[in-house]
Amino acid sequence: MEAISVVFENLPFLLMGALDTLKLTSFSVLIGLVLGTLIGMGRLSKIKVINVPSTVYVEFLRGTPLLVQISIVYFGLPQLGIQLQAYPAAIVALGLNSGAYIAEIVRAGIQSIPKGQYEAARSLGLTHWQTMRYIILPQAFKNILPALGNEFITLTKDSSLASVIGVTELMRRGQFVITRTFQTFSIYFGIALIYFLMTFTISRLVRYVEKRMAVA
Amino acid sequence: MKKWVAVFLALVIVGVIFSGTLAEIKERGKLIVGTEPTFPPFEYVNENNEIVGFDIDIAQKIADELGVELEILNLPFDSLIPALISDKIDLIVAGMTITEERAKVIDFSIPYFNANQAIVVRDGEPFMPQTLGDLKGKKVAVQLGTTGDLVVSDISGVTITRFQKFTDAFLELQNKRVDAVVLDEAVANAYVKTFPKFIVAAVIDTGEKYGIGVKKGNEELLEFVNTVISNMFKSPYDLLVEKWFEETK
Amino acid sequence: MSKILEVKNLHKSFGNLRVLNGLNLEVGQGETIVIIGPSGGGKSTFLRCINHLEEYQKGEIIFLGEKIDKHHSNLNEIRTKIGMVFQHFNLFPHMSVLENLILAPVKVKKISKEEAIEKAKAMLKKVGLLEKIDAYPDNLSGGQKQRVAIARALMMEPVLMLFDEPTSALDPELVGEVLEVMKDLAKSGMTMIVVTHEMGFAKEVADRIIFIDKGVVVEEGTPDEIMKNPKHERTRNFLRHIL
Repeated sequence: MEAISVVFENLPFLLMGALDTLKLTSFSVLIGLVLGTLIGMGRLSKIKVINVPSTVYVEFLRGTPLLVQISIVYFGLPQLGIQLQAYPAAIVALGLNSGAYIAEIVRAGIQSIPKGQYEAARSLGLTHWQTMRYIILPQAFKNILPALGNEFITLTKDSSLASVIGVTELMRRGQFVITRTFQTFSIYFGIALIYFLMTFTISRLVRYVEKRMAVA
Repeated sequence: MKKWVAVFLALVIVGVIFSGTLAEIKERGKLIVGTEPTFPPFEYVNENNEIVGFDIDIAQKIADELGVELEILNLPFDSLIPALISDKIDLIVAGMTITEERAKVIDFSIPYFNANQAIVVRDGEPFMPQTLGDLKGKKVAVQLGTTGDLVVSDISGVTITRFQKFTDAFLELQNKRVDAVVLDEAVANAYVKTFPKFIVAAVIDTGEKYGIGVKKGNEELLEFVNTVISNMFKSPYDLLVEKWFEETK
Repeated sequence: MSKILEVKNLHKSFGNLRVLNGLNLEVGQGETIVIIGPSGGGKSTFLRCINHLEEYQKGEIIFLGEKIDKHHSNLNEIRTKIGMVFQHFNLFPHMSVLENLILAPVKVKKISKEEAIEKAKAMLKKVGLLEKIDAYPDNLSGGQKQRVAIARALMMEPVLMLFDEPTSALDPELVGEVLEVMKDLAKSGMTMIVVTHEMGFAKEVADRIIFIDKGVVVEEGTPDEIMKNPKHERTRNFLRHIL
């Protein structure tokens, strides 16, 4: 069957795209994690100059389409003199976006820790930051691991939007193969399968880590 | 961790490229051309993962004349003009039809190809349109932002479905959700050759032509591109006549 | 007897709800004070004001000659000198017993890890839980958890220990082991303020019993005075209920 063999013939080409997708997603999640942790804590701050910008950030980034955000970073920032190539631009946009979603996850995670934990740590003389670092965040991360896994999976799928600025990730490479072979359906199906294998692996990995942390 | 940060910063810094004038392109040593390589035979990715096609050869010719290397940046079709405006690329060579609307935001070279449109239908079915007017009351799929999109949009009473990829438009035709696909003749011929279940019902001379996109105000580059194109139209004999019998600058 | 803590005219409210209404108290070196009173009377809030887990609106808290309020430049350092034991233990569940004990000494007091571990072992021996050094809180009984919590507070070598109903979340059979540890501590000369309903403990260990209701000290005296011969009607009513 030509429709199937066309997928196999182009598998190396498509898998390169899958690798790009994974790299793109991993970098973005890393940025999102750092940003999200800071902003998630900021959302809970009683200090207005920290709380208000954090809230605005989260609401804005969650309230606008990722496609628009990617376009702004790639096409819009040059007007301000910031030229990013497609790949870094995609990482920045996806990272900023996932930062907003992760911030909400982190906020919920922190709120899930009993207040007594915070008070016990403070009563021992630990500062707010030490308390966050050694007591609250480690426990919160354990609780939010499944939600973070979901965010990773969502971002893996959403990263296909980076094709609009020419990042040759999996989706874009699929389109190239389609225009050469005209095997629209089988290539789309092959791409879907590769995406599924990636997200399935991630969710298994997250579950594995979760189990190991539950033992500790 | 630190290493990754460094790699990332390096990527960002490498990303800072200033596109523009002829002098800058020469200094940089490469011409950056934007195209959407899902438009065979004008531009597509071949078996060896290279972007090739009619337009790519034209772009190569311009780069050769400039004495610089050619770099192809692949972008979706509707991202090409924003990319040109935001200095991501020097030129658009992408089978782009010269239109009034586009000419408001970018400059076009002299035309280099006639953009005849083909009406493609399912073979063996009674519907066989001969003119654009025959599409009245029908459902038509086109590729977003292409000449096909423009000409069909001008006919009243047509239900248009627009796709990012022309291959998706054909999928729609195959699934019988539309009655016809309107797209560039050369592209249609290549596709119908592979899939004989479709047939080109008619070719319409729209009088529209492809041009190379240049950022507004970049007169020097525009002029250079025009010279290269008009020289390509000339035979070697014409060029010799020009060289020996006419006053050159 | 030198003064450790002096509380003058303390006022505290949560929104419109007034919890402390001009509370006064002095605690001397080595004293064990037991605070009793109906729930909602402000006992816990009072303890939490002392190490500034709660802010207060009016009055003064003077600890070792220093005023504790939100303007104090180093509350964290003050807190290292005031140990606190909570009703619900509040051990850190993601850390072993040892890690629970050495975290603050290493991170706050900056003593070496080796030294902290030695100290932790000695402290655990004191509360009879050396064999649980590598256990996690989830694997301890309530009484064991509270003894670890006491050991954790003592690791900072506090000058004053606050106990906020340390046995009220425990099964009755586990109360004794915790009270034993507290008695030993009191006998060793530690200054302690204990909010509790354990009148047996109060009678045996307390130098003074303070009866707090509606945010003020209603009555105070030696265990004998308060338990046998309370002067106030409110104190009598309360004691009749719990004895």
